Amino acid sequence: MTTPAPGPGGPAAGAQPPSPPLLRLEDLSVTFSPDGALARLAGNRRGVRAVDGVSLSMSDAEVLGVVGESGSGKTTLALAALRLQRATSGRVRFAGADVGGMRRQAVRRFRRDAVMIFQDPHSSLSPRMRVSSLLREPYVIHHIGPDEQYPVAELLDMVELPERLAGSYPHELSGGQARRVGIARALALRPRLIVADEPTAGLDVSAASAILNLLQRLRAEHGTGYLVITHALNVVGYLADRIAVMYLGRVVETGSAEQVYDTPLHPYTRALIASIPDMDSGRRGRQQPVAGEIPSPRNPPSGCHFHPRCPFAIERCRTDDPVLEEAAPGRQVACLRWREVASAGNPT
Amino acid sequence: MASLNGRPAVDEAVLDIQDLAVEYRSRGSVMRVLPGVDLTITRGQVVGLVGESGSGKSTLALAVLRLLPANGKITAGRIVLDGTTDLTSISREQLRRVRGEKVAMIFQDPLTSLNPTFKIGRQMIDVQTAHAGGRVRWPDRKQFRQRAMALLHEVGLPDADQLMGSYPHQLSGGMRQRVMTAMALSLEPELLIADEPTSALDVTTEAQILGLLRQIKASRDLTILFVTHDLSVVAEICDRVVVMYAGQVMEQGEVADVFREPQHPYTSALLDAVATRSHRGQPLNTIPGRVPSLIGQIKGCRFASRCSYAQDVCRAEEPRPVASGSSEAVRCHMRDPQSGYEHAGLPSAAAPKVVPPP
Repeated sequence: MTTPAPGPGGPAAGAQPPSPPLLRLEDLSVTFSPDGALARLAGNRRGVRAVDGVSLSMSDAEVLGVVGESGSGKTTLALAALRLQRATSGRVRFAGADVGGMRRQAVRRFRRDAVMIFQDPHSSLSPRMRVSSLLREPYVIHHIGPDEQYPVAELLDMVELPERLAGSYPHELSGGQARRVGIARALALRPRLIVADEPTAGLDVSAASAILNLLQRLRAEHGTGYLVITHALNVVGYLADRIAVMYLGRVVETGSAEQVYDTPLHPYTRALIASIPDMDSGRRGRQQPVAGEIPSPRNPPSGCHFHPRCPFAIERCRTDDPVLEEAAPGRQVACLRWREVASAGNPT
Repeated sequence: MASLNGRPAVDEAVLDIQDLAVEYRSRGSVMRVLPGVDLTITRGQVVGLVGESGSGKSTLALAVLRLLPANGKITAGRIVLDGTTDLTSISREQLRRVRGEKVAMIFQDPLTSLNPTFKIGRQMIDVQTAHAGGRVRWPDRKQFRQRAMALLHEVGLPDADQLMGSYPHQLSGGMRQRVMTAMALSLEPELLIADEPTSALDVTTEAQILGLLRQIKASRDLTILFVTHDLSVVAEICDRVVVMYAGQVMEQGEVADVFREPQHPYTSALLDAVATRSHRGQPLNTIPGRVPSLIGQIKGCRFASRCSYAQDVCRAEEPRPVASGSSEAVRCHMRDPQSGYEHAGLPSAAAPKVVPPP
């Protein structure tokens, strides 16, 4: 252990030259096969391809937002990126190292550097541990530091919680407070990457905004990279530098937040953006919402998965699988007709 | 009281809630969740009831149909339906008729509201059977079945025949919410109470359900009370908005007016806290502190402890609702010329605005 004091704060420990991306997913697929318990329960014989050939990369201190509806595979993608779910094929690289091929020691180190904030803070905190123990746990697990150095107070301060909460149990916390404890646990080991699954789900508007402020601040102070998984477009619109849109296990569009919002190239992205309830333009400004619902990933449509719901679909979309192609620098889209979509004007 | 608030004449009101007080009792303590709420819902409107968790918005919605949990009790006030029936004092049998036939309700989670062990068709028919007196003969049942199918069609479920034979768990969240809505419409209510009907849905499905509610509202001349924590949904679908905080109505008025020029500091704070793309790079506004405990008496304005404009008068006296700007009833000393609130030294934005007529 080269870092003696486990205190939080300061720049990311062991910052490396910026050459390899912080996180890189290479043609990643996750299939839940029929002999898995989950598939058996679902009465399924064919297997579910939850993540289907996804390639993405993000750099240090970047916020990558992965957007999609339930069933799009975004949570499975997050779990696979952290080696919490085995990839069926493809590769996850963390700072250049192949995560799937890591030995035990390397995995331990990886678990310090890349952490997850789970969606439901109450179910991810042990109900029988006080906040102080919950915050000490990461250090204990990683054998860091003696008892008196555990910076519980500092961690609470970092997530703007009063120190008196150290003696509380999770059920005594509000949703926003529990979420902050989850974030403090994630920050304890000064990770380089935080994967946040729906960080504001279930919170009141003011509490949600406070969490977003906190994430912004911590990123500025510590240079942490975030992979934010959400269905809330306003969250990624506010927080993310780059956005990847997922539909039925595949990435259908990527680009900077501005690009994706201002000129969506995929018809599904257009539909998503048109569905955001708009405070400013009001209710009458909205166009017809996209028809239908996301199909079951057990039995995805042929060709382009979106074609049954797509207003731009042509015959070829039923048969041809669109590949992710470079539409502009830093901009990818998987749609046979993206040029027509782009010239169809603004969706809102 | 009614004339003070500038409320519409009572004969237009589908629902007139007067000084409604609700308490919850648990382990010897009494929580006064609603201390005395006045609210009028005018026929043909969509009224958004917004507030954070703990604001009492769901309690208010449940109290209307007398669906409060066992430890909840209406302790004072009246809930007048159609200007004639007081829902707080009617008999069990009358209440049974009101539920469904006059006022229907849809909930956030249709899966827990639908019976998991019966097929959709059976449940759609049972609603009609129950309100036809329980004992019906075969020709009626056949008619009910046809009606159920027509309703499923109306809520955008074209494959009604197959759907009638499905169990709730076989449907998606959006389909279940449509089924719930069809069921709620089956007795042709005047008022539909929707408690967070889209909160658990994906954004494209939410857009579809909001579109559906707008469409049935127009085609059936429904009045809708829409309970939600999501201000953007209110902007999307509601005509009027009622902002609740800690059991009290803090502000109400036309959505466009209230959202453009909120008169209550709490409403402004809520509107400012919504994260949008245009806030990129700036910290978002938040409301410090927490909702006060509703156990025991609260002195002064309920929002005072979190309000950046609070003065001594706010902590001492409860504000009364006054008309201010384009909002019809605002509970804030700052907006009440007779409150003794000291305006000198405040930023001009905080002073009551005079809105020019459109």
